Amino acid sequence: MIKFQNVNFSYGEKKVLENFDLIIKTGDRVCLVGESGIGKTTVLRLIMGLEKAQSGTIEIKKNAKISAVFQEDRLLPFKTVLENLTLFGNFDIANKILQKLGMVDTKNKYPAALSGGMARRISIARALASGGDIFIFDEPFNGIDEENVKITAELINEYTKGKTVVMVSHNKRDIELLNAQIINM
Amino acid sequence: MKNKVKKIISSIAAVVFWIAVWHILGIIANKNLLLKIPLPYDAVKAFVEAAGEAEFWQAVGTSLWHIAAGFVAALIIGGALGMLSGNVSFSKTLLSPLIHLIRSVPVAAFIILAWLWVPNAILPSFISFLMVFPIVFTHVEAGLLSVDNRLIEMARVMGMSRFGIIKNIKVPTVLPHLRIAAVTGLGFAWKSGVAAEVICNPTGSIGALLSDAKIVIDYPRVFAVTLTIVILSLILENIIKLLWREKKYD
Repeated sequence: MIKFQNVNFSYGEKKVLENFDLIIKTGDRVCLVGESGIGKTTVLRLIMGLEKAQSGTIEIKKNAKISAVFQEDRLLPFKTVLENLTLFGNFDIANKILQKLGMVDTKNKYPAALSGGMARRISIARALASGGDIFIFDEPFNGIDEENVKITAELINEYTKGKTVVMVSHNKRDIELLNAQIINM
Repeated sequence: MKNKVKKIISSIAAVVFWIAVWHILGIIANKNLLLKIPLPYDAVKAFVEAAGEAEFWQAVGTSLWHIAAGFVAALIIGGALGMLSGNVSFSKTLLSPLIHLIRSVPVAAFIILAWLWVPNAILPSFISFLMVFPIVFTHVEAGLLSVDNRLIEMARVMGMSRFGIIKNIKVPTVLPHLRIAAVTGLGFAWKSGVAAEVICNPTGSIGALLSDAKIVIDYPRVFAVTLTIVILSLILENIIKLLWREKKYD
């Protein structure tokens, strides 16, 4: 379970979250929705432990393993596609995911050789191969073509079944594809 | 292939041009000088003569050992301390005055100072080390500063250990910087190491040969030994470039 209680967070003078409350139960699939700058990505960063709230409490299930797809792909440029996946996940699962994505032929390529959409799919593949209790997706399908969005979404649903999913997206289609419940901020 | 041949030809042409300049200036200057400047032919002749002496090759071996020892020590210690400084801010504060001091004190002053306390046999290695150490240190430190923090965030979230982050993110980012430091530092190692040998005269070294030739006013030999230093430096630099190629990730 993820629980925010009276959380306040600001970047310098700029207040982003004010007395913010949120409850996400284990196994829930939610999408944070709201206008730009309202603090959706900040909430994700707080869950991931990359930011600390100035006040209030954030409770996350102890020892919960988090896997994330950030707004940017964040692939290691000096590792091949397969190495990027196996650094965090099992070799067989990584291969299986690449097969399902139809990207086995890219496994020995470096991220610089991939197109934007391909790099995005590898970033998702890495999170899925890594496994975990909580999956974070920040605008997961950015730059992926329509046909591959469907294949990738199916894969996400398969590998995150029963897990907690927290996503941020501006696209209604993404929310529907991942069967997420909307949380308006 | 065509470009490679073109590059080789233009490099040879540049060397020939400067040898011609040396020859012409030598002829002009020698008209008015009591102590003649050796012309390229004299230097090559002296080099061939020296190359026939066992003592000469022994000196080359000794100097290579002196310089390599200092150079490798600087790579290891400078690299390790640079990594420490880039990771722990207190080490940066602590090491900063030392690096600044080493960079600003002239090499001759270091040689004279070290001569008092450091044994002759290891002085050239010590001086080479001192000259290369700050180069390696600053390059490694700069490399660490260029590490993409977003990658570290990602790795931390996904559960990568501190050691894993160093091994998989920091070291690969720093390695190209270390390579540049090695190529740049090698020239400094040679210059400073031989300068130390000339001043402290350890038996059977290139510096000692240079110093002996100067004492007996054998200037063709001075030129020949200098030529040897240039050639060795070039060979070593190319060996490093060949063995430690810049890796392309595309």
